[in-house]
Amino acid sequence: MRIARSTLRTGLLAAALIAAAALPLRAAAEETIVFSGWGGTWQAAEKKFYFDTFEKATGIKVIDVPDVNLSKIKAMVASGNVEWDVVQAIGMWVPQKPATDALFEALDYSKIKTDGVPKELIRRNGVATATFAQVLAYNTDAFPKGKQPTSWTDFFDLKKFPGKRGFLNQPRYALEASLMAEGVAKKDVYPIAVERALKQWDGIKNDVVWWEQWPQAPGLLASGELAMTLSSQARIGGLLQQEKEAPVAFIWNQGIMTVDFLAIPKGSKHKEAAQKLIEWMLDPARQAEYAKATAVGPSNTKAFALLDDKTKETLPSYHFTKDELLVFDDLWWSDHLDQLTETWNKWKLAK
Amino acid sequence: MILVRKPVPTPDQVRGRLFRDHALAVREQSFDRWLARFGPAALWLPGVVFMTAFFLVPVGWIVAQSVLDPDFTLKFYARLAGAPEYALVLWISLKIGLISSLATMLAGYPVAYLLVIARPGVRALMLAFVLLPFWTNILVRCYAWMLVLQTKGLVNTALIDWLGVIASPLPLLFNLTGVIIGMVHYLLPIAILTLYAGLKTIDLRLLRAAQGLGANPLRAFLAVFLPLSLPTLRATTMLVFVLSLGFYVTPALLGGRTEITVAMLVSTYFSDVLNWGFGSALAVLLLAVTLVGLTIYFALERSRAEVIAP
Repeated sequence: MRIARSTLRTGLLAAALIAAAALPLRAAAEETIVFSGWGGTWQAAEKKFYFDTFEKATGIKVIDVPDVNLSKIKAMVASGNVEWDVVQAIGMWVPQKPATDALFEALDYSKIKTDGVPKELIRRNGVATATFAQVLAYNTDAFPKGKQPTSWTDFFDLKKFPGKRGFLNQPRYALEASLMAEGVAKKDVYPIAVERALKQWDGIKNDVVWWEQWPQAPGLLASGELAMTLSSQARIGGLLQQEKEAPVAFIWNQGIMTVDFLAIPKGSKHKEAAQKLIEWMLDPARQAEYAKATAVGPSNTKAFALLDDKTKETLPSYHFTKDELLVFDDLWWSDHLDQLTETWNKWKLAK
Repeated sequence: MILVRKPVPTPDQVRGRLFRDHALAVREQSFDRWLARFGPAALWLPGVVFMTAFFLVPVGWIVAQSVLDPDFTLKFYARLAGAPEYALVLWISLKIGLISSLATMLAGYPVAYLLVIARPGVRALMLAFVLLPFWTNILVRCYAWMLVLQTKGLVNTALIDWLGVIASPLPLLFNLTGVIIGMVHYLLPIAILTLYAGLKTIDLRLLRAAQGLGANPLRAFLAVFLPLSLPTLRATTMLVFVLSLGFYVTPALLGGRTEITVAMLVSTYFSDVLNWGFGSALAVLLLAVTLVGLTIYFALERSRAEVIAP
């Protein structure tokens, strides 16, 4: 039994050591908050223009992590272990209804200056930070000058504009695009006539690549795998910034404008500091700098006074004022997403 | 030589030493008894705790979530049963799983066999090539396959422009073919390593004996090695098939309109729609089907064992 005992002792000792190593080591430090966003070049620019300057000015350190995700937020709130203090949220996540109200803190607007942010973009539990446009992008080799698409109607016209199509594998944006293709006026798109919208898609059902992740689209378009696709104006712009010769272009007409919000997951242990960071990110001068670097639109209208005309033309908000864009109705979608996901999969599986 | 006599211990010293030895012996005995009683528990307890914490509790939580909202309800299962599309998605998942695991075994078995009969140096090199993709992130692999398989990708360019074998590009991506290629690539290292661990226990002298008795190498393989490898083959196939049912990244990225798996829906309902109740019901459906499959497999294995045993 001697050997067994010594083995057992070693085993117990090893177990104790492993347990000790697994204990979280928390170094005492000045206040640190965690921001979670989309990652990539957009977040790198956020770090440069927002987080680093914020840390310098306030002494509050901002750790930024990628892959913000609502189900992770829900899990954090449910377990009471909230690791993220500020999150970049799509509008559907902060729709001011009880279910998601349970996930985010109500913001204290006596402490957050929002001058310049339009009223309709200030919600109980989130405030707008950036605007995007989901647009029709195309390959310029497939459609040379004079033969280029100008609307979603052309996207659904395989005869005049042959070639593979691409679209996000989700019902949202798809239904809006097909209704606008049929000639439905932007103001009449919502509430969406789902059956009518899907009928339009029937016509090109087998010629569409349903991509899953936004970064897929620009690459598939540039390589010629797709002739036309939905993409985000900032992603196509980003690709052209990196590779001037990339054969891609997009149109603003009938683009779908979406808004990102800043929100604080419920139970954050650094609510005060988080609100300070949110205010910091609403500042027009900083938003203008960020917009110049990324072509992501500012939420603060005062930022436009600080931008030259050439930059303004690259931003969604400018084209919105020219009445070219449809504003995505995230409140309508957050009510219908569950049912429409089922409808969508049924439609995809049907012959 | 000078003899040094040890000093004779006094009676007290003798008594003391005896007492100490006795005390040690008693302690040792009691420890042995303790060990005999709790030692086995100390060995199986960590395993049980681990399984409970990382398997039973999460699975129990998923099952509970699929029937609570917040009171007991079967509405999520009613929704599953209410639309024939969910049965169709289950069938698609099983089909994709079956095809990819069969393809994986067909490609993996010869490699595992070569690993067994290879010289040690060659074997190490082969294992390195098997392990390299094993350590690569699944997303990276999917994006790499997109570059290889797309219309103007490596494969089609080679076939059309360099070799001139075909005129128009093969549809290899965003369909069933793409999903199977991506999944087989992921499953192969797992299959090869599992097969290799089983196959290397087969005594290769039996093959030599068969050849010594006049069998050619093929006959020796078919008559001796293959039958001996069947249990490993069956177990690995089952393992690979169970794994293949859980794929959602690969079919989502490499599949087309109709390559929808249950695991993909679980992911959608958990992260996009945030309907965890329905997502859990879908997960329970997948788990139940997997368990039924495993039960049938083990029942067959047992009946086989009874047939073989005298």
